[in-house]
Amino acid sequence: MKPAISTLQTVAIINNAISPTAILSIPPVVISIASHDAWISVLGAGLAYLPMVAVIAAICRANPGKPFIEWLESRFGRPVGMLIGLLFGVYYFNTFCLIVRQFANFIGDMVLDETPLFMLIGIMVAVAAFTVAHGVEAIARSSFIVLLMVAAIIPFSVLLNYSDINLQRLLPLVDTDLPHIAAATVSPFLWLTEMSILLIFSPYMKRPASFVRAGMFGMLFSLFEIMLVVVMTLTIFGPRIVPMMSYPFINMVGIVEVGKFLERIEIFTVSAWGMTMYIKMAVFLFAAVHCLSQTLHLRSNRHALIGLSVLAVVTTLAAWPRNVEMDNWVLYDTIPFLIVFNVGLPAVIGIGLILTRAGNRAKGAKTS
Amino acid sequence: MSNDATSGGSEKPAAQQSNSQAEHTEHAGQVLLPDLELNIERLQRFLGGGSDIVCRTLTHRSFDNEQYAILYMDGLVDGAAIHTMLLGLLEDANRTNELQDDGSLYNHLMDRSIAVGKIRPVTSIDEAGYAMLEGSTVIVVGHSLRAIAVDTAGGESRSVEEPSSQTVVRGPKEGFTENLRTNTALVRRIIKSPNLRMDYKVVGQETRTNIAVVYLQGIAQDDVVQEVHRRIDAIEIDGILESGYIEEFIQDKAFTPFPLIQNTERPDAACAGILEGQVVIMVSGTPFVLLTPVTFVRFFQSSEDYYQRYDIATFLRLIRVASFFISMLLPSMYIAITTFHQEMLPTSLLVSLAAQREGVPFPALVEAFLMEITFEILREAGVRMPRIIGPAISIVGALVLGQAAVQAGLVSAAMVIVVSFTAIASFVIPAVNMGIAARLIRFVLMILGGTFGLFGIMSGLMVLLAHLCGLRSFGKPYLMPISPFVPGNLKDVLIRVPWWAMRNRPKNMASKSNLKREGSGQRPDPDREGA
Repeated sequence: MKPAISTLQTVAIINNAISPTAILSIPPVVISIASHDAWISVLGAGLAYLPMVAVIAAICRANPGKPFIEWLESRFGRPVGMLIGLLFGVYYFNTFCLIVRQFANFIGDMVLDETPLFMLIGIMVAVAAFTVAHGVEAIARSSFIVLLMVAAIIPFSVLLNYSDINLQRLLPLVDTDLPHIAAATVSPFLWLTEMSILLIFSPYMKRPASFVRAGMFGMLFSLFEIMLVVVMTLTIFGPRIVPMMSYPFINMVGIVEVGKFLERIEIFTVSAWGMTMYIKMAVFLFAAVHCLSQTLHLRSNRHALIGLSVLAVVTTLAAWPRNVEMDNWVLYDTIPFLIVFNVGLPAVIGIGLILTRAGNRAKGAKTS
Repeated sequence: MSNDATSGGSEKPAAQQSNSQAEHTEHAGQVLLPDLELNIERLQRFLGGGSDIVCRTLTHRSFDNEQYAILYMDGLVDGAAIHTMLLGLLEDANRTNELQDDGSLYNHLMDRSIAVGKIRPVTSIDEAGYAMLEGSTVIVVGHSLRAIAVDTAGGESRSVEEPSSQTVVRGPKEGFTENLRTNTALVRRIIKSPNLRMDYKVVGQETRTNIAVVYLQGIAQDDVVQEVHRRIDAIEIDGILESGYIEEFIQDKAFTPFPLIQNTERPDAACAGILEGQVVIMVSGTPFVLLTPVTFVRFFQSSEDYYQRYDIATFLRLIRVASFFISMLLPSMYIAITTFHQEMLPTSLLVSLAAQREGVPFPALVEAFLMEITFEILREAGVRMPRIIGPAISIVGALVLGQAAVQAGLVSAAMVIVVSFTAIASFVIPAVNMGIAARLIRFVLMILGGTFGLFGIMSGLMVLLAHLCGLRSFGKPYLMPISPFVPGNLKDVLIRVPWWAMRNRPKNMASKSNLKREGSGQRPDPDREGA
């Protein structure tokens, strides 16, 4: 039985592929550049990315339901398919390692400062691998439940922080100059490009007609979350303090006190957010395993999963010996990295599809 | 019955000594021969002799004093049915001539003489032997190649009583028994539909346990019914003593703490499941019947939810779900917060907890393990020990292991409260097997909470979520209707809407062509015309 995931579950997968790290990383960056107009930059990034959603959805629609790499091989020939498969495999694997390291650093900084990093990384990779081992349906269903949880938490977060919100901090509107606002769109735009994960998951969708809807809603919900966090951190702390914070999203929750009996509840938020991080890890590990096993024509995904998981633990530990190196990588190297793999490569595939359309039609006519 | 009747009866215990396995093989499939004595001897040997085999030989006047024998297993038959049948046969045996036109004694007995409803012909020794083992009486006729199996199954069995495991305040008090026929009758009494199907099977080479697969044709999904049959037919085992055996053979996944098949000893719960498209598997010898397919949320539903008002039922259901999470998470959360995240607690509470733990020599994790394991031992003792010494154990548990342990400084009072509350919460879950799952998971989460704090608990919950999302019950996703999301089925998950609003059966259970279960516009409205 071919696994099948619903449109809602796909929306959840896309959302969880973008938001968890985006809400952590984007606010200080965009607010440091665009100050109190940072929310306009986030909105602009969303608008700028809309055409890309259409491109990704169009590529998905061209696929008759085969696994992504298998389809590319049948469409462009084996060498090209293998090359794209390997490139995507490397991209998803590296992104997975990066997410794991970011999460491990965060947990080490915020909660478990005495726990060795390798233990945190080992647990994270093991949990992600366990989730992936249960298959694409389990990932999709978990993703949807986590999205429900996030959707339930958002109103509470707003409510709990309501007394600290000062909307005056957003004024005057469009006070920052346009080049700064435009420059600040780069970071959210790059995070939104991770929506290209739809290419891997689209063959498993129950309704192929809803690629655009799934992509659009997934992206829009992520945009809403990023916007909400940016606006809330701005209105609570103001544009001068947020750039100095490592995790303004967590600090925002940290100032909440529930009556006189519960304070510093950010650890609960971290726990809920951690679930979304685990889903993100599972999504990217699944994509890496999928690309590798499809490219190498492996009979079983399980061996690839075990191999990549072990490799991921080692890579995550060895690739960034110090945290500062990883921070630099995130700040500077991710820009070309994400553009090449999430924008460039899909664009190349799209162009390739257009160029080979005539030949493919003739082949189809011959076959029929 | 006159004393001079020619029906010379002799009731004798069979005393054939034989070692069964080889002889079963020897007699298996052997046809009956036209020799009464030989057939009786072979049948007794097939059954291994024994004093519980009763054999009575009768002679029929109307058929040239042809002899026939009545054989049954003492204790497996209904005494009243045997008595009635024997009276009829004796009376018939004394009649002359006027009945002879039937031709053979076999046909005569088959058509006219047996005062019991269900009879069938048998043609071989093993068929006759197995019929006797199921409680039938076998009539072996002198010159015939066929015998008659008369359904006289009965004997001592427990009467219908109130279920011990799923009690309700409001609702039927009847419970299933160990007798399969009683159980099927209890269901038939509730669902008087011609579409109610009961497919019978025999499983277990030695126990030959009867199993009934019960469902409503047209409402249960055909593929599920077929899959149930296929999985039961594939079972090869020497004996089935309880429905748990069947459950372990037919569930979708072996390695999971979560129950993938529901069980109940309540006929109303079984019937509710049947009406929603579930397939019920009844096993002879146990009051616990199985219901499948099942989803996670069904384990938090009680029969009483549908007999109480919907608002009360909803409140109670939310309490149950909360209790499940408390039962699973409370000790681990306590350990994690007191060990790793003390900053979350207000100063006054923190000082109080620290003061309590000052003299305790163990870390919170060890302390919690000590108390939890102590409680598990007490609980197990409570189930196994004779009822009469129950209060003594309660005193030992409450005083010695609770108060004295705190006074001795082995555990803190807060930990006793946490463990006690957790234990009480675990009893709120209506399905015992789901409660056990929560108990098992609790220990794992305690270790994670004690080692990695809330991060460990979160990681454990993620593993649990992925595992739950990957589970299926007879092909149906276990977490349905939450994920996959089926909005139409949410009316009976966390909340229970009024009956008039639950118009459809659950989409994942019932046949798609027969989802509607009630008419529209039934909401009570005094102002409505005609109301």
